[in-house]
Amino acid sequence: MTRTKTLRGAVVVVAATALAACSSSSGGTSTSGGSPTSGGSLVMARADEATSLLPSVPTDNASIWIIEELYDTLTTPAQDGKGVTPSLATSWKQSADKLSWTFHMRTDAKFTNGQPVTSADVVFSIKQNQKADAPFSFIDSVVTKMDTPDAHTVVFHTKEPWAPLPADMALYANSIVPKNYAGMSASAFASSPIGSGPFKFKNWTKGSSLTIVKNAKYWKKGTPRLDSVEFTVVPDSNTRSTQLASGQIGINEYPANSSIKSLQNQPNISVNTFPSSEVDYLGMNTRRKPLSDLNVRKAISQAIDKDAILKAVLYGYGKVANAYLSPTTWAHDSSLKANTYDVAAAKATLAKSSVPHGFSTTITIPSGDQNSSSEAQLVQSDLAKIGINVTIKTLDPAALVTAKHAGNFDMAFGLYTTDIVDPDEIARFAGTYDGGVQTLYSGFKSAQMDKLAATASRASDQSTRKAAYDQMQQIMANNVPYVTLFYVPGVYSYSKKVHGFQPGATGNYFLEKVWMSK
Amino acid sequence: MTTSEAALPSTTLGLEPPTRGRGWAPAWMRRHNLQLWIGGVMLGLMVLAAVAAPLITRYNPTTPDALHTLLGPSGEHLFGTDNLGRDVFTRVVYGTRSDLTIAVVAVVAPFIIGLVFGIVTGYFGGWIDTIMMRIADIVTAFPFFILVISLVFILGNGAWSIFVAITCVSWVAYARLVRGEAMVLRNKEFVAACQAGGISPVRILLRHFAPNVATQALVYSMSDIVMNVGVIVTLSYFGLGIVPPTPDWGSMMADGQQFLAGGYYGLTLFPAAAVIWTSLALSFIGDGLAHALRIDR
Amino acid sequence: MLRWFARRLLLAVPVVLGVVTISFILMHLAPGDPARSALGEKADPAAVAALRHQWGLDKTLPAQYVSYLNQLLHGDLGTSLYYHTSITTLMAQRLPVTLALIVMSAVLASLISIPLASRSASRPNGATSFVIRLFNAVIQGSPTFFVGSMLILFLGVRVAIFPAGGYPSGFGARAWALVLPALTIALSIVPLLVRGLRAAMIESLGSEYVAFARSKGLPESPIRHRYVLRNAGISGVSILGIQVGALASGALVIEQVFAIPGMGSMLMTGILNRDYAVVQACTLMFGLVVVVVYLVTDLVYARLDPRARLS
Repeated sequence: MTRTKTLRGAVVVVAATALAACSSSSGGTSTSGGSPTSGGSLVMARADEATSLLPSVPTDNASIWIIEELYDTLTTPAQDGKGVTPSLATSWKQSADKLSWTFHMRTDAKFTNGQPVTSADVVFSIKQNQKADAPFSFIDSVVTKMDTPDAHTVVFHTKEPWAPLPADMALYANSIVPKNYAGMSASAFASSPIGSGPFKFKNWTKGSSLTIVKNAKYWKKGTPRLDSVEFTVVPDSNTRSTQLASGQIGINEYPANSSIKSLQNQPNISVNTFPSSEVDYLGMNTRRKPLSDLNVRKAISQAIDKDAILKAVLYGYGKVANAYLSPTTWAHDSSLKANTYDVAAAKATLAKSSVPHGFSTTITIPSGDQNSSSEAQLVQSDLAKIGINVTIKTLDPAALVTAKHAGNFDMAFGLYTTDIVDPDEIARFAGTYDGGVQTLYSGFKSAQMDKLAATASRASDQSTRKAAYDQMQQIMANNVPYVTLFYVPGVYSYSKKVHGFQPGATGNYFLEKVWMSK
Repeated sequence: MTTSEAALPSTTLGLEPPTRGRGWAPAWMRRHNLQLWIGGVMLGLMVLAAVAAPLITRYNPTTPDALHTLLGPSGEHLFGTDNLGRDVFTRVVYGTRSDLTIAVVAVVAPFIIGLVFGIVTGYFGGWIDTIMMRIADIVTAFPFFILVISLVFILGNGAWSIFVAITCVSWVAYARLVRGEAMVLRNKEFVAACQAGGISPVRILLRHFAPNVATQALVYSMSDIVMNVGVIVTLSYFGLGIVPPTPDWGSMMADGQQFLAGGYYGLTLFPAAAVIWTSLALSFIGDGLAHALRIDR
Repeated sequence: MLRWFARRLLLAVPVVLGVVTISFILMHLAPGDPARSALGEKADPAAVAALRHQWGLDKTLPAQYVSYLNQLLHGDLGTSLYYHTSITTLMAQRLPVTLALIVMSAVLASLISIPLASRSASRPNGATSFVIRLFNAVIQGSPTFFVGSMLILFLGVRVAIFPAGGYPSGFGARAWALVLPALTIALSIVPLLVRGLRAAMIESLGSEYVAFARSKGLPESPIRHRYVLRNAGISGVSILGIQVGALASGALVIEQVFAIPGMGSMLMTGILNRDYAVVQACTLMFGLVVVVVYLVTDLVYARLDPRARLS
């Protein structure tokens, strides 16, 4: 999942100022109000607009998180991100030869056009995501063939034993749509989507708002409780804050970190951070000298005062990272010792390298991103202390992506999140050369990492898998192809009238559980 | 207004030197051309501060200081410190170096290009004029910031792309201004006399046209510098201007915005004051120049 | 008159074509890949290549240019690569917002400039005149985004008369939400407008009409209204006309600051995601607006000024 690019400078303005208006009185403790009631319309203000509601098309969170409300998937991520729970599928089992998975589906699920959800719809849907130009086709590339023994059973044949398949099936891009888009063209379907999820698409005014309404025939009886949810597009974080304070909206997605403290003082507003799989890192191009030298990379990682950056830029909302796999996955190794901040040690490490007295290099940051700019300036001054002279370069976000793919940079910040709850996707994406983007553009290549990733995805027993992932995290820590910086949570502020809102580690809103008190 | 030959009006209205028509200042000010002096002193102070920056302040404009972030103005830190703990006064003073230098230097190329372009089109007229003014029209009908933003995208951030971007756009104003003046001059008697005397067009252009016409352009260039400061600052605000950590008023203002809520107005207001001070100084100088060169009456 | 009009239209064609061509070249020269933007960083290179092929981005630049022009000739603005929607649809939602913003700015700019200019023109060398000059210089020196955020701070937050940005629903609320951004843009052209109007007023105050009227013993006030304002109106209209480009550029910046979903924010998203079709359609629209407004300005000018009609 990606966060949409914006020229951040452009949107901070409005009411960095506006907050001043609504931050004075101190609030009492939050009272979670009574038993769930039905009804009510929720308005959620978000910075970015959705780009498409066709499951196999978008990659931006703004689209993904709405798609997850409109459609069902065979499985659904557990709230804590440590596994999957039944959804359209009630049970699933790997075959004895480990080369296929059989999913049994519930029989009472219906699309909002009245059509029952069948195995034929599943096959059609997965095929959409296997198309060459689908962004997440790589997730389903392991599926070689699908069988439908009956209307409510699907068998997936896999290239090799594939433990992550149930988690793959929870991916939004594998949402179940009616076969042949219920007779519509893909673009017609995208503008009036039909799913079997808790909510039904109502309308979308591009540039300002998108509304979904309760699916009264949703198979999970008693849910959803809300009558409707409107997603509005408000790029400026401070405008969102003012709107929340005035009761115009119910939920503000991602209030600015700098504003959280004053938000917490407001009586009718809750601010909460939810564990997210986001990991921020400082990427290095190991194909270039002297970053190709392990001691140089290690020295850099020891010289950066991560705590200071966390405090100055993220206002403490986050945790200094020790391992490349985030704590939201069961594969995270909490015992791993990261290269901790120690200037003397950094100097000593650099002294052992090919450039004992330092060198000159660059950090490229996306233009308009004030956080990256602050981070870069702090890193610049940290590295100066051990004799590394850093020049900051800026590139507009799209050009920076191209430069990273082309290996045309020395150092650059980045972040990664997982799209599925199984550690497989992110362990490969951030840890292997071919599993993503040359190990986060670093060019770091390790046959051992590839082997361990394969071992982990083939093995069906958790302890074998965990051992492999622990080893992978150790290898990354030893080789420092990039500096893992922080685990960053998702932050939401919302009215105290909103209850049961608890986004999952992969970002899913789970709006069917939300209700509003009067 | 010339309406016959142009897709866009070729008038210079709106691009006039600051004081065409009449001066604005009270008579006692105009008598000794005090405007020029006040403007000169204001600008001189800035230049002095920029040159002598290390003598004025003992802080480094770029080194973060984690222990002293977001301090209010005090004897120690005249304008307070920013979110990375740097002295704001120091950054404003050093910002003069980058912003003012680029703004002034960025005037030179458009001035020359516009002068040549305007004289040639104005003097020769006819189809040369028609074609060349279409080119000018295209630039005018192209949204200024899109042009600047995409040029910065192509060339990368930094002073160099700012020069190129500004040059690509702002020569048109000079060209239109100069063309208008040149067309008037062309019909004057002394030009006819020169032509009759067999003097080559190039010599006429250099000897007689350029100096006459350049006066107007010179006065206009003062307000052009103000506009350039505005462009540089706005680009930096969008993150497309001067690269951090080099101090620059625009990025200081942009970075400061998010702290307005916390009451840290200084982070935004002090660099803004520097921008406005520069603008005032240059306006005074422009008025004064116009007065001195006798084009304000 | 008709010939003049036809000729002007004809001359506008190469201008618009030039605008389209330059925006095409600029966007394609800028590094960055719309297919990668659309598919995100995790997508396979193969998926990116497939999408590039589907969008025709693997063709040569001249070939893409020709097919783009061909498409334009058929009145098709294309499809947004990023929003997967026809640009005509997007434009229908965004253009009215920006046009409303520009018109409101022009009105506000006139309302502010006329009193200032006439005050200054009546005593050109007085103290008030000098103060107005200072005001002009200060405003001219203040970057638009700064003026915008200060207006938000004082009129949107401290004294919360206006919304602090955003674009609500409902006609009245929307018009109200546009006031501060329009005022910000208006202020950016006030200095030019005051200067031009003032010069025109001074000129006509010293003109024969006024001298004649004075000699006939007509009171000052009607003189000013009848002749001076009319004369100033002519120059005001042409300045506003010429500044339409500045107004639209201002809208581009200010829509970002105030979170107004107009052409500016659409263009910005377009530029950032290398949504070629969107950027090209926006610059085309921008160029057309400028050319049309200039044409209208000249027509109005010709109506107001008898001398212009003769030529």
